[in-house]
Amino acid sequence: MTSSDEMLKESLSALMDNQASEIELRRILKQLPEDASIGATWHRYQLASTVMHRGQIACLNLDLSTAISEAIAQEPALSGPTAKPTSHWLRWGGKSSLAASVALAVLIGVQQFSAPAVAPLAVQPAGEIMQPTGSDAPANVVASVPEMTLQEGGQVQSAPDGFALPAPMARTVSSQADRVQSFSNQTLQNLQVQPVSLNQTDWRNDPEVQAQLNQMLLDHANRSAVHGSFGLLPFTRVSTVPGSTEASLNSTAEPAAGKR
Amino acid sequence: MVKPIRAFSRPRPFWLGLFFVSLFAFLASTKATALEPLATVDDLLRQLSQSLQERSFRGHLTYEFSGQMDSLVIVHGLHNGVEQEKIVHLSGPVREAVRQGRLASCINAGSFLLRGGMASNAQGVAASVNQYYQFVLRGEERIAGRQAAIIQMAPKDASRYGVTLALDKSTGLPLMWMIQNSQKKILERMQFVDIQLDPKLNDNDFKADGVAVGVSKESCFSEPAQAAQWHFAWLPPGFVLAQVSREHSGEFLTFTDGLAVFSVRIEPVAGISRHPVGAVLRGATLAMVTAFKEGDQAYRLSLTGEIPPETAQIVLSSIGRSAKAAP
Repeated sequence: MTSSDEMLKESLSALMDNQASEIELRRILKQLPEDASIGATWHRYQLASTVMHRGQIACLNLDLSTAISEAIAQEPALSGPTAKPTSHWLRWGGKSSLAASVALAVLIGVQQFSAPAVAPLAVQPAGEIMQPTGSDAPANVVASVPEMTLQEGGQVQSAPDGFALPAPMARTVSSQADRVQSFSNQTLQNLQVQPVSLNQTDWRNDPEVQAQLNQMLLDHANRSAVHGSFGLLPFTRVSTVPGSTEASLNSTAEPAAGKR
Repeated sequence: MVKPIRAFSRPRPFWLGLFFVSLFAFLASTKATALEPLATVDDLLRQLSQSLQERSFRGHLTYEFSGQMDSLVIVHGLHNGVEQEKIVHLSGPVREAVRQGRLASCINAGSFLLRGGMASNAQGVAASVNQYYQFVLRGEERIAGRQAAIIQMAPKDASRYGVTLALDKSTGLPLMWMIQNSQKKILERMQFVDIQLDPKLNDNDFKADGVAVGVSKESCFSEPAQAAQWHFAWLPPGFVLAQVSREHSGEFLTFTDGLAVFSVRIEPVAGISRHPVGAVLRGATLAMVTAFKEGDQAYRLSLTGEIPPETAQIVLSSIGRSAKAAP
């Protein structure tokens, strides 16, 4: 490595920090068409700087500069008549439109690059990993969980009133599959439990389902109060007491609230 | 050229000595004075479990979950060593629960584990709360007009939620109770707005109204229940079977690790396709319903409890017939 190379790199580094002098800038621009490694070094420095500032790296390993240079070269030169004093404005306009189209190209390129990397993780139905391994599900069992409805309508199916859909954690999926695998090897009587999707539910807002869920909450609260460590506090989670009609609701509202 | 930094290499025996002496004196004094009233986490938890059972109090609390808030009143008293307790919702549909007649000397499964008790479950593993949660004292806060110690209970694995408690410093009663998932999202919070210690209580305070749900009087824990017809090949570590009861032709099981509780119901149904599968949350409580077939018989399998959905999925899919139960 020659000393001029080193000087050039120092100038590049200075330019990164916006500290390069006029002479250094001229030297870099002069060397640029002759030495391809300068471009590569510049790219590396930018990458390092991004990493150090904890920025997101889209490893877009394609060089737009060659294509852009070619496009500029192929563009018909402005002919004589337009080379009048007004040409200054035209040239300025041409430059800015070129810059705009480059920016647009980069934007589209980055979007197309990053989109497929994220999407499958989010759409993966967590229920699928619960599929019993190594055996066929009975015909009347809903074997495959339908794809998440997020893609179709742009919104997730809503849960019954007062309830929310649990958001699955994408990260635990692989380790969880291992755990399912490990115990399914141990048990001989592996029953075909239908997989449960965390992204969607068949339950609409119908009163029967709502009553069923409320009963589940109540039964569990009772068990929690009997066996848990917090006395009757688990009962705070009960939404309604099934069987309490409008009539009894009205008649008991007064003493319940007024007695404290 | 890098200049050597001389200031640090110069020996300062006198100042250093004085520094260590003062540090030692400071530590000794804090240990003697400041740390003493701040009990250890184990003590606080034992106190929490005891005072919830033995103290008399009346208070108002709020329950927050997914953007909603409920308000409640709770009354707890001890009469001749017998516990009386009532909790009433002040918002939404009228609902209340009453418990009368549990002996204060009766320690249930959750309290047993929370007080540092060890129990071996079906897999032969000893269970105690501090094996599965990391307890950290997070300083003090003022809640319901009282000084409270904040205890964070971070789960040591991903199969349970984290709990943050604020315990009243003089009584150990929980003034705030918060459940967080592994992404630090708060799922629900219960917090006292005011609390009155040793109020004058009479029998009317615990009288059950029309909509009250009676809670079973006693369930004193001695050892985990034995699996009956069904068992689960996988349970989150530390959870023990607290109760299994046969109902109609199904079964209802309850598990606890001392902090979290979940219940599973198995009931035979006519057809598998008529019963929708799904999972929903209300606060930290998960309600998950699925089904399975054994030969020609279909069963509905439902789980309710304060455990992550991913844990519930594994538990439910690990169901099998108990070895001793003939199918």
